[in-house]
Amino acid sequence: MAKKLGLRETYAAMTRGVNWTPSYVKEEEAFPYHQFEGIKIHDWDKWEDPFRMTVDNYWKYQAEKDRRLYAVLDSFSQNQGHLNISDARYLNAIKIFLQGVTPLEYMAHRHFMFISRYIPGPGTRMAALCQSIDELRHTQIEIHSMSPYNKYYSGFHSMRQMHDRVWYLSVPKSYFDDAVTAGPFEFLTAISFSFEYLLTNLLFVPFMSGAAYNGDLPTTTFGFSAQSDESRHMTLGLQVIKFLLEQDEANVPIVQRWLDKWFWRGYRLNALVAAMMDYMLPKKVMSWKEAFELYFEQQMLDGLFPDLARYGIKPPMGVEQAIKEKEKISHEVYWTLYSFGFAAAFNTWIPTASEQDWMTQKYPETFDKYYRPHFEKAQKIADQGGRFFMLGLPQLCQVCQIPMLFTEPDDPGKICFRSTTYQGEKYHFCSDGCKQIFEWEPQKYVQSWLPVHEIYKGNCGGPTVPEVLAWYGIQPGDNGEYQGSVDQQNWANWHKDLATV
Amino acid sequence: MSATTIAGHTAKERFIGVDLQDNEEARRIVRAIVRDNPEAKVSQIPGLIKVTCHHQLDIKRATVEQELHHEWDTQEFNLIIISYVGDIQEWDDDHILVKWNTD
Amino acid sequence: MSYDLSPQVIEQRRLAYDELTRRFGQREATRYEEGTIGVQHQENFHYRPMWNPDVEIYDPSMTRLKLTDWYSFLDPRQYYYATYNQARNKTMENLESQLAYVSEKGMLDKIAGDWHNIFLAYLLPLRHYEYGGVTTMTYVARFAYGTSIEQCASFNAFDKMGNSQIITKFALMLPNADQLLADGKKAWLEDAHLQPLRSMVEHSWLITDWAEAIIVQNLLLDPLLYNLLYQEFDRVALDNGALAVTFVHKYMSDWLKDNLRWTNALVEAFLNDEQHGEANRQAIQQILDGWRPKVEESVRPLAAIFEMPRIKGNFEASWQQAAQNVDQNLERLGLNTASEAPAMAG
Repeated sequence: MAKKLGLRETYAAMTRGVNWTPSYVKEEEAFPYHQFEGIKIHDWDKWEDPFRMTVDNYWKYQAEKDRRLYAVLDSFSQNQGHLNISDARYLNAIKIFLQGVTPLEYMAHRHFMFISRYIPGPGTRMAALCQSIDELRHTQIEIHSMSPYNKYYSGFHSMRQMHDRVWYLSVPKSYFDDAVTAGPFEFLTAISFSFEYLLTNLLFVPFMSGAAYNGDLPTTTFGFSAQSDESRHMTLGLQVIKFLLEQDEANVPIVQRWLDKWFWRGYRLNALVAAMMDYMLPKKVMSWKEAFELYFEQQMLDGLFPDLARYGIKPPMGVEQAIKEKEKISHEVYWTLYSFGFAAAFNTWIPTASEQDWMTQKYPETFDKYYRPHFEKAQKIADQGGRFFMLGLPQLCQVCQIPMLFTEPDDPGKICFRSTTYQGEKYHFCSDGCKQIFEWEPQKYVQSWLPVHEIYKGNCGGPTVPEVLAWYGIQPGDNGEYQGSVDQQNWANWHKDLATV
Repeated sequence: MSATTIAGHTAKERFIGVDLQDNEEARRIVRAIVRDNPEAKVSQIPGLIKVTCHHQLDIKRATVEQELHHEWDTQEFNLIIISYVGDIQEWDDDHILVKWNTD
Repeated sequence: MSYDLSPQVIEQRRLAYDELTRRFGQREATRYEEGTIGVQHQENFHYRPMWNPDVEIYDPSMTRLKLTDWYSFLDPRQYYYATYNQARNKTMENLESQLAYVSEKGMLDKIAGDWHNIFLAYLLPLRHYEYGGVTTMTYVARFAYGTSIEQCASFNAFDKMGNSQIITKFALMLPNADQLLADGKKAWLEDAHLQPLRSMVEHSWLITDWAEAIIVQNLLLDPLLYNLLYQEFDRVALDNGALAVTFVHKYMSDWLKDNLRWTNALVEAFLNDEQHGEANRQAIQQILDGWRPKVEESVRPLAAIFEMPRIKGNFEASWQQAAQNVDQNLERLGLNTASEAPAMAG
């Protein structure tokens, strides 16, 4: 009778030794992509997998997670649970999530298959294979969780079309396009490490807690359920970075460069999250500043980077600026989303008096001085029956593709403009960080499909705003001011009989 | 512990931790964790339980089984974990150990 | 804040996501449809891949076959992530309970004759064959066009990893498992009767047309191999009292049937396409005609296995049966067969 093996030995038997070096075809033909980035790997056996999930356990535990999740979703639909959210303004945060983040899950799903195919190490291949279908799970549970909202609220109806066409969505779209068009080790550094480890909690945990605080049962449920998969992903990310750094000293400067690039691109992407957290949650969990301090400064700078210092890794380029910006970016971004809201697939509004007072409290250095005046002006216009909109299109940063709304690190009153010339053309950037990223790989970023340029080139449905909005897939109710919108009127109507004691 | 400054940020003492689903089974597992890791702090935000500690968290199957009054496979931890801070140093049939590599 | 549900019926503004109402009209959508149709990004990509600047991130040119509507193919099994895992968990639980019974009864202690060597000659090496299939199908999963196709390929790739691990799981029940696994790898790398198969697997990694890879792996190689070993040789195993392994054989055979469901449906979609059906047909036939002899050459040497047990198997009859199964499937699809196997007498 064979002895029963423990978890460690079983996992090793199942995932190690099954691979082999081909001899009937050239290894470089079968695995052509893992060397061109200059990364050197000497011993794939040094790869470790803390989670040790074999396929049988994968099927078992993932099936159980989905049983629990879909039971909640079904119950939510059955009980008209959407009526229990804090108020319909909240859903605009979730619209941005479906339009902006869910498609990225799908991109990750496809590209982890690339990693599984082309990275020769067996431990990595198994981890990447599992992550790939995890990401398909996330794509689908998100689509399914938001399906009930699509039935009653604006802005949920055309996820893919909007992601592929709408201006602010080119920010997340270009981020992931950048990662999947890079080499495999850069992709792993960008996504597994930088996105799924370094910055992940900043994106997901406040969001999911925001959902919990605001009565959004589907998002809370899928969020926490997906996060259990994310624990495996975080582990892959951390393992990747340590593995690369330990395999060869020559890898260190390459990895450092990638950390510098991808922290900055990821941080800029998170500017949209900052605006959502501070402005779109009727019941607030914490401010962007607090989230950044906890999830990045404490957990990463205090926790992770001392570990990486022994390899010669420094905290990424731009960290100092990010720390300086924590009192600014959510406000700068939201004001732009509000101003161009006629072209957005979600509603925007002036924060209430008590919400503005919360901002004063959380942002003592900046809110009253720089941002409250905007809202006071907007309120004056609203009081006279108008609605402030920027009549025109914004200049976008060539790299992060966010409008040029960020201010100088040391001067919140001055917009930050940077530029460079490449092959006779001038390119514009929101920051030193984006400019540096461009200069490292100009031949890549000159390819960007910049939404504003494309509108002017006539590639977006026509020369007028209604034609562009139609091409975007934006329908009545999706865009513009929340007060008086379809969603707001419905919300008020559905709650008009609410008993008050 | 002396404070160090990285990129304009002054470091505080490191911690490690796990974030868990706030459900009935998880609450009992947390009791087991605290028994084996008496310095662990437990806090809650809506939907999740945070268990943090300064040096390490050792989650032992035997103790969990005592709290649950039934058998428990360490793989079942996958059903309740939301996130973690630190490195998973070990995960086998008997325990799950979370700590930073350089501690 | 709680809400008094009873007096209000709220009318839905939309019955489903626009992608689906445009396609199917004003009706509710299934979770399969929501999670599959039109999900893949289609346009306005920002950069060309550094690793292949000739293509876009998702590019229909990565196969010579074409569909007018890439979502005219839908998975007949309707697998999306949740239902896929549920289905696989169920069959795995069945297998585990069968293997637990095998273990309890000490059935692997009772295998007569030299089954240690026989497992070493076919079953253990196949864990590497399956792993090789993961490599092929992960390529397809990344580059297939449209979510409905790539999703099936993704599950196919994961299934191959599962199949490989199932063989390992069985091997771990045998005495001296560590040695057996090491010897099995050596056999895969060195034994004469397995080299053509290993060569076939390695060459299939170089196929760049993902539809071609599906046809080779799923319509030719897996069916021929599985029919020969997991159906035909299974009978030989039973004749020789090697009962325990039949559960693994059955798992693999059942899986093949399941995997053929989507593969056949995809081929039908290509063949029936209004615009491209004829061109697709010619291309698919060319692929089949070109690869069939190579596939057969790579599997035929497994004849050696049939000679090994005390009660030998009739390889030629088994080979014909296996080849016939492949032919019948192709004929059902309306394709020509080019088998070298002589027609069955009578």
